[in-house]
Amino acid sequence: MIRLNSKSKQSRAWFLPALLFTFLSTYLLATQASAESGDHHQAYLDALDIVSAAESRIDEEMIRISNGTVAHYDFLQHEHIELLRHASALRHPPIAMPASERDAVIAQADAILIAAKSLELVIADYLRAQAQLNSAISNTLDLIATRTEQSPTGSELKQLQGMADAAKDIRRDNTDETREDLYAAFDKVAAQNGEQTWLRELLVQESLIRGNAIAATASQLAMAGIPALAEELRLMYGAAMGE
Amino acid sequence: MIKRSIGALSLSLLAMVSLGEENSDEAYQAFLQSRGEASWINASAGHPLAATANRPIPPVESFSSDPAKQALGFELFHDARLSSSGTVSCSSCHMGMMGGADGGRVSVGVGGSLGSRNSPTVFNSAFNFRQFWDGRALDLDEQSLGPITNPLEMGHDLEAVLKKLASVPYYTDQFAAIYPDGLTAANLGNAIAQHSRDMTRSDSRFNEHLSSGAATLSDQELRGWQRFTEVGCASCHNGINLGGNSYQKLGSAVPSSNTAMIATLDQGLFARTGREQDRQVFKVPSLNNVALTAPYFHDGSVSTLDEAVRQMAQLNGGRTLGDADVEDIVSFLGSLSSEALAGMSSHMGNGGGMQQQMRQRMQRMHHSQQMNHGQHHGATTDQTRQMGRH
Repeated sequence: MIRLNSKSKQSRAWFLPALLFTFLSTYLLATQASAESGDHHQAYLDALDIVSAAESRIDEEMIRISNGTVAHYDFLQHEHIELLRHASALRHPPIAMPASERDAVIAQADAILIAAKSLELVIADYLRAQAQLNSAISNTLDLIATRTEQSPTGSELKQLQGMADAAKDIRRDNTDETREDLYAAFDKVAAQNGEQTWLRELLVQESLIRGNAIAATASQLAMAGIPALAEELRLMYGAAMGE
Repeated sequence: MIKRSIGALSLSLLAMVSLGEENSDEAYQAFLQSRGEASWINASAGHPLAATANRPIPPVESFSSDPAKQALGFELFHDARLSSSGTVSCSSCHMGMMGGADGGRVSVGVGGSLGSRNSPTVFNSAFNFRQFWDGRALDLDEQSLGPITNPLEMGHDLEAVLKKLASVPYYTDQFAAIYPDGLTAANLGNAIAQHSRDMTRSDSRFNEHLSSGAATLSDQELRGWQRFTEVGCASCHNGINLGGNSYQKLGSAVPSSNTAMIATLDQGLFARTGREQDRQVFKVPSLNNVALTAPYFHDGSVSTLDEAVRQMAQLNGGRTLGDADVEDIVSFLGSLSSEALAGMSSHMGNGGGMQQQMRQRMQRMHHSQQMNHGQHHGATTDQTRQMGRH
């Protein structure tokens, strides 16, 4: 009996620290998991912020391209990629979210991702028109410079100068008014010149400008409705997380 | 006593494992994996030239990277076990000595199968807004897995590849050490992509000129850069990669009369979208290292750079350029070559020696394959049209 009791006491003496270690390590891990859950929660909210603001940021980049403030397409594409990355991440809410709410949140995130993906072609169409417009204006100016070097008459020189000014105006400010000015300038130059290579090439540029100038300003961004979808997700997420 | 202590410790470990696996970690990892890494297309956004058509490429060392992933990615990139035949690796179509492409009109895959598109350079591909000629992959992680399962390239399936790699201790050890979830398809793509990102070069004379303002360009190259802008090339080939940031229609000004190109009937983006306006629309290729990556265009139908410049000016600019303009622009394009890669290419004969031999070898392989399998060109074209590549 004595021996048994002694053994039992010894066992308890060893078992208690081990049990304490178990609880401590479990607590530490739970704390770590909670910290990760907190990180995830914050990262999720950050992603929501980025997605909510994406449409206006993309729109700003389009404007900067249209008015010639930025002479490349990298920053516009960057904003779209950021939208896609974060929209994609929103499909993975924190584990702390109740399972009953999870499916609805993921479905809403899916809707955002589909809308975000649809912007690929909106941006593609815009940049195709913008690139053609930019190229046609550059080539118009180059052809005017080429023709100017060929010593045209005073009146033709004046027309060419007018066309160059109109082309530069449309690059800075693509409006109905600047477009009409440029088309009128094309008509004048075409009417006073015969069949020449530079003029044939100039008319190609006119056709490209006419075909792309309006598309380069129009934007279908809002049709995707991303800010509204993101706001809806924010509300769903907040409710699901008990906030 | 000891048994009970061990039991308690086991209980602790079990708790650790179960918490790690079932709680936040897995969900957070999935979130982080979906979010991926920030795109490099925004690099040098704070540079004084950031708003202009061209800004410098920063040194690859300035981007954060994991050396262990780099080493793993390097091994995978060169490992032919990724292909069903064990003969084709990523580096088969993306060779350093060929400017990161393969020098062929189209690439040769398993069993000598032919693709329909020209292999794009892997160098500086990290700056492209999307990958493949039709932009079907958003990033290099996604892109890296595409050729493995393409029947005309590596002709494998991912499950089989993962199984094969799992039998190699080096890979199982490395994947386990680097990735919390070990060897998976997503991690395979990520590791290969890491190596692709490593293949960023910023040592061209043009880049040096942009970074430091040093007089690294000749008068002819400077003239060529000016003409490149004046005749509209920079309308599409702009940004940090001189391209790789939009889709454009080939022949938007004047329809193509390039019979070789028409014969391939590659409809580009249309195959993805089904929209009429996307016919013959392709991702604009980067021009960095373009002088090292002949032949040109999505189908490799143009063999020289001066012909490519002439055709592009006509097709998309509606212009017929004079010889002087073409020579100046080609000279400028030569300044976009990485000095190190150009040196390698030069050792290979600079397009006239070994590069030429490799192209001829590939052409022979194409021919031999067609003869051996009785393939008519049309059959190959139909097949490749369906499969797509790059």
